[in-house]
Amino acid sequence: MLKLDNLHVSYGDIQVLWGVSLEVAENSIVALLGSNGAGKSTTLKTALGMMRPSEGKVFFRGQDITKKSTHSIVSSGLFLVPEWRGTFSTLSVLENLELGAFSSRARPLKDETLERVFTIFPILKDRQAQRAGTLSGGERQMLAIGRALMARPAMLILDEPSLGLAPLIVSNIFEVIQQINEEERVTVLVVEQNVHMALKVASYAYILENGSIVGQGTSETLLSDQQIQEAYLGI
Amino acid sequence: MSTHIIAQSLLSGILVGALYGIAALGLSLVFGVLKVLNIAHGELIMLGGYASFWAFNKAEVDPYVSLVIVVPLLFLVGTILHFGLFAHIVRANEEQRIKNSLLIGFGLTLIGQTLAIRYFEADERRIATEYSTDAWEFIGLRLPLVRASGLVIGIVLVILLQLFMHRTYIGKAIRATAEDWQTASLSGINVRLTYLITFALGSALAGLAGMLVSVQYSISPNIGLTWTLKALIVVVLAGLGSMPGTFLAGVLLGLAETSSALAFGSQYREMVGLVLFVIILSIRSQGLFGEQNA
Ligand SMILES: Nc1ncnc2c1ncn2[C@@H]1O[C@H](COP(=O)(O)OP(=O)(O)OP(=O)(O)O)[C@@H](O)[C@H]1O
Ligand SMILES: [Mg+2]
Repeated sequence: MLKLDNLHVSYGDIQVLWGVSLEVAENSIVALLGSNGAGKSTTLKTALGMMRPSEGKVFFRGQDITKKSTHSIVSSGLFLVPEWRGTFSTLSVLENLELGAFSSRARPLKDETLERVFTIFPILKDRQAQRAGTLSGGERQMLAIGRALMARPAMLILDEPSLGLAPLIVSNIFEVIQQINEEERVTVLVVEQNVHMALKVASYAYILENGSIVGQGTSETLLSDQQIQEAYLGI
Repeated sequence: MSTHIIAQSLLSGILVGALYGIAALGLSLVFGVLKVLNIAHGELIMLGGYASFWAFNKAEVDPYVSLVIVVPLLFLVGTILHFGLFAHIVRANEEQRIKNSLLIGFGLTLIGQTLAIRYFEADERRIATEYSTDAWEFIGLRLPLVRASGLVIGIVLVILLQLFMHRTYIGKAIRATAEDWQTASLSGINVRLTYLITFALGSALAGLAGMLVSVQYSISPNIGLTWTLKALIVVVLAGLGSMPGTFLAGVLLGLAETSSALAFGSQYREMVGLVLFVIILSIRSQGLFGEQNA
């Protein structure tokens, strides 16, 4: 579904990705793990066309999208919930959700998807008229994921969805991710530092360190590989 | 001083202020969304004024009717200016954007004035229709028709803009882009197109203001800077992000000007706006109606 092929990416003169390759199969949940500053967010930004690689290519559903603009990538069915959540604090909760369905693939289905989002996150229904800026951190993350659902994506990428959230909300969020994957057949790539949680839902994972993929495997293998765990996963 | 004189001058203040408000709407919209300060906004007002003037003079088109040509014309001019100039600087970071937009704006101001002198001549012009001097009289107050039209048009305009920004998808996209263009593009919004439409809309609003200037006051090639300044004061007073707020701040500026002229003499009229500007900013840096975080 998504294939990153040998990505080299720099911020100005500083190169942060050194040949990152990874693949996410259709209908799977894949995790991208790694410590702070490893280059996880940069990898995601590059996939979404927010940064241009100096070398390498990005393929989505078999199409080369390396040079496409962000909004057209989103319209083609790839949706990112960024590290900074990606909600508009000056807009109401409802408007945020509506804008999730901005692209032409999602807009005709807006009302029906909205119903579904409200059943998954009832709190958003209660708060729909409220400004998103007044939501709590957990509610903001629910809104961020609700927005993503509104987009009717073929594939969803989440950048550290558990960041700053209480354990109960984290497991709730991961349940929803799993539910979306199973019921709506949405492919998922999730970046996490919460390794346990990530490996519980993902079937396959990559480990990124200093801008390179240093390990990969099914969740079971990674969980049983003592060496990798000690070196990179800090378990 | 009689209450009659006071009432009359407050009324004039509201009417001139409505025009300040209309003149500021486009500038505020563009500044709020693109973070680009178009100081050639007054030149666009001038151009709109001349377009109405020539339509009236050459083809006897009523100035209010001429809006059906003038507004689309200025929308087109805005599209071209954005494509040719401003689109290239919106990619820079915010500080760079403002600096570069000031330079481009100054350049455009000079070019606009020079061309206007060359092709429209330096004379002061105004649209003198049959109804230009008509006025309503009530309880001893005089309400000049063309000036009252500015207030009515302003209120209708603000309502329409408010509906557009809050009820339509493109309006919501504009507000989203104003807050955070990166998140907007991650929602599937074409940010460049949004910028283009916003800039063109800002120009179209300047065109409308220009028509009103040429029926209510007069136009000449050098009025641009005056109107840019008025609009700028209004934008700073109001803060960004609220169309009704911008319009209301225009009315407040008009009221402040006329009431100070009444109290201290008309030579202080121009200064009042600037004093108000400093006072409000020192109390509320986001302006009267601006977003806290904008
Ligand atoms: N806008 C930027 N300009 C310059 N350098 C940057 C920028 N953004 C990130 N970097 C650098 O690139 C490297 C990778 O950053 P990135 O945000 O991709 O890491 P990450 O794996 O997502 O980290 P975290 O887990 O903390 O979010 C870091 O060294 C970071 O300092
Ligand atoms: Mg990150």
